[in-house]
Amino acid sequence: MHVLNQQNEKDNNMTENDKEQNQFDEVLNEEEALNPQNPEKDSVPDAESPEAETALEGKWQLEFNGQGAELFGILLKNFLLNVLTLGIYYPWAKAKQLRYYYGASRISDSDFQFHGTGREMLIGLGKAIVVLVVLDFAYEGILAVILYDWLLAMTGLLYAFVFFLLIMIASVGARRYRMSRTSWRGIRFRFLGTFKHTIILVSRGWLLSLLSLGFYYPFYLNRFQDYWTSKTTFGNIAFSYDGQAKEVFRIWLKGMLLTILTLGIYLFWLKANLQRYFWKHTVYGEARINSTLYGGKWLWESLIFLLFVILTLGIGRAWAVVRYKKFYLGTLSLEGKIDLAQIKQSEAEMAGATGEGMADFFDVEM
Amino acid sequence: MSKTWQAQYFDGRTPTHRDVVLSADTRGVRIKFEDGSVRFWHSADLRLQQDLQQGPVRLEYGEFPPETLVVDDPEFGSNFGKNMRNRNRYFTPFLALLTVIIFPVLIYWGIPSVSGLFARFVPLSIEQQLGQYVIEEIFPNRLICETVPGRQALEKLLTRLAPADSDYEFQLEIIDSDLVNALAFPGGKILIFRGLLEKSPSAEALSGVLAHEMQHVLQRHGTENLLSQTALSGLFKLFVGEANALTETIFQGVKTLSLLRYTRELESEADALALQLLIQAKVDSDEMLAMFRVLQKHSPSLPESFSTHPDMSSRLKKLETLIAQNPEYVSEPILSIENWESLQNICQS
Repeated sequence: MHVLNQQNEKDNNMTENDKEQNQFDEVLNEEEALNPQNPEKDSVPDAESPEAETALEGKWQLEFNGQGAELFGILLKNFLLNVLTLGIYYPWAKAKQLRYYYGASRISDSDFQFHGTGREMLIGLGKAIVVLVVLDFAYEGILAVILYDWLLAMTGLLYAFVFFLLIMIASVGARRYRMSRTSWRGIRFRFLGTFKHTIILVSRGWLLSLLSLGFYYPFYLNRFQDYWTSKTTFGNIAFSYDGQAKEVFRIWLKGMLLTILTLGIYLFWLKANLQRYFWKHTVYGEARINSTLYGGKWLWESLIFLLFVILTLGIGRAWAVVRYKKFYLGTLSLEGKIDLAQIKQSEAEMAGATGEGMADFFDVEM
Repeated sequence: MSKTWQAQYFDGRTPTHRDVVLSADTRGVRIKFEDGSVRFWHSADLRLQQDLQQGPVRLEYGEFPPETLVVDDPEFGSNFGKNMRNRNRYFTPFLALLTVIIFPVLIYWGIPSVSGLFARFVPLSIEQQLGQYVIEEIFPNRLICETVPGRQALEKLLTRLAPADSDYEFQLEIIDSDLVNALAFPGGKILIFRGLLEKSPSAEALSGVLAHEMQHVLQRHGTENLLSQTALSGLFKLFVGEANALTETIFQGVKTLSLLRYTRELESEADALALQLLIQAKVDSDEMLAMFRVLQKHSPSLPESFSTHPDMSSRLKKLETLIAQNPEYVSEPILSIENWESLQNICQS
């Protein structure tokens, strides 16, 4: 049954996907055509000359080398400036924090970089506020003129639907923004997922999960992971996902049964098992992500994080974050072969920060 | 020969790098490639970034996608960075210090003076509504004592004490309750509890309390208090952004203490100004002292507003000095004996 569904969906989406792929290829072709004649960069030796290192082979551990004291300085400064400016400093504070987190995350001796600025996030936040205020006024306005109970119920449904749409827009927008502002070795990431596809994917997934009493849910998770991963690119090459729906289903079914038997405690392990599976089936070029994220350790580290923050009245938050990030990134590594020379900067359109701003309101991170 | 640094060069088009040797001065950086070619980047065209204090320094050049130089030696940042930006070093400690100073100043001085200023701009009609609302909230089922001669006596007290040029219309209610207390509300309403009326040694003594409450109204202390409460709550909300129960409790304590302090200051102000009302109305101010002595006896059991008052003995002392500072005057009785008796019996109808 679900196999059929998937097939149908693939057929339906084919045209859209193709269109996007074509657009993407066009951009790349353009870029390739432009590059050789770029006059500014002519004096630079060619990237493929023999002295340059081009292929990486082996296993690279992801690491976080931030320091609690240093992060504490950043958090303290942000906090003080937020107070003094009555919160207007917030986007800049967020940019500083993200810059630190990314800068402290490394793989293969090169760190990541966050290029977002407080200014663009302020603009994003402003737009999100305008949208939300207008919607709220509209809703209040509708409520004020409604006379019938059934209409009231309809309006509630409509409101819930609009809310759902906003969360989707926020999630996709935030990921588009984050990815386009993230780089490694000077090459940007991108997220090419669209609002439309995500909304269709998610609402279909939820609807079918409801109708199937939850049994469709793991299939939806697998599909969502596929979309989310394969629409993410580093330079001109997209990540890919080769997880199997039936495997996810197996993990989910076992997890749900044990969760019920353990009165919910196993939920942490279920989450870890799913996440580990998703990571392990994420592929870039000829390299694959490996994950050693296990429920027990994850739960332990989360508890330490919580306890530490509470016992220090929040002052120790910086140290707790560093510890947690060291743990989480420490569970991730990349194995295989990456031909650096094959990767080219993509100049696909830069995303705005409205989604990021909206995500701040809903507190979503997918 | 200037110092040189090892660096990685990224062209912004591929993730491959090449090793280069850098030398830098105030004008910019000189980049020497392994094949011998040399480039020069002007300081003005560069963006310097260092995400971690002990981490690599990054120089970006050009529009997107920028060419990038990564120098692993953080010392390069402090050397070359000097030319690019020499702010920030004392910025964080400066800010920390500023907050350490600003926060108490804001609580101790800023909030009460700003609320006092704003309270003056609240229209009278709003104050009246506010006062009425608060009374109905706190004492929805209060028993009001009322007799015709008692009311006449009250009106006499009010006309004698109220300043002629005031916009406020004072309304007095005697509440049938054992509380030894009186309360003033924004807009001009004053409640006196039977307990206080019975304990008053004389009409002049009662006038002292009445003058005190009238000054609360005239100085808009109630409105001011409301504004400071709102401001304090706002301020603490900002601080307890990522709240946990413990920090919240601590901040609540600070908040309550601050509020009590504000009220005490308002009480002292009302005492001093009440004396002025008594002097203007030629009412014997020594009787106010007598009243305070009575209240002192009852102070441990005093609920509500009097418990937020300054310590009674220090109030007494202050009032004594104030009375001594004012020139002597000939006082006139405020009520006749019959009037005073009917007022004291107002609840026995």
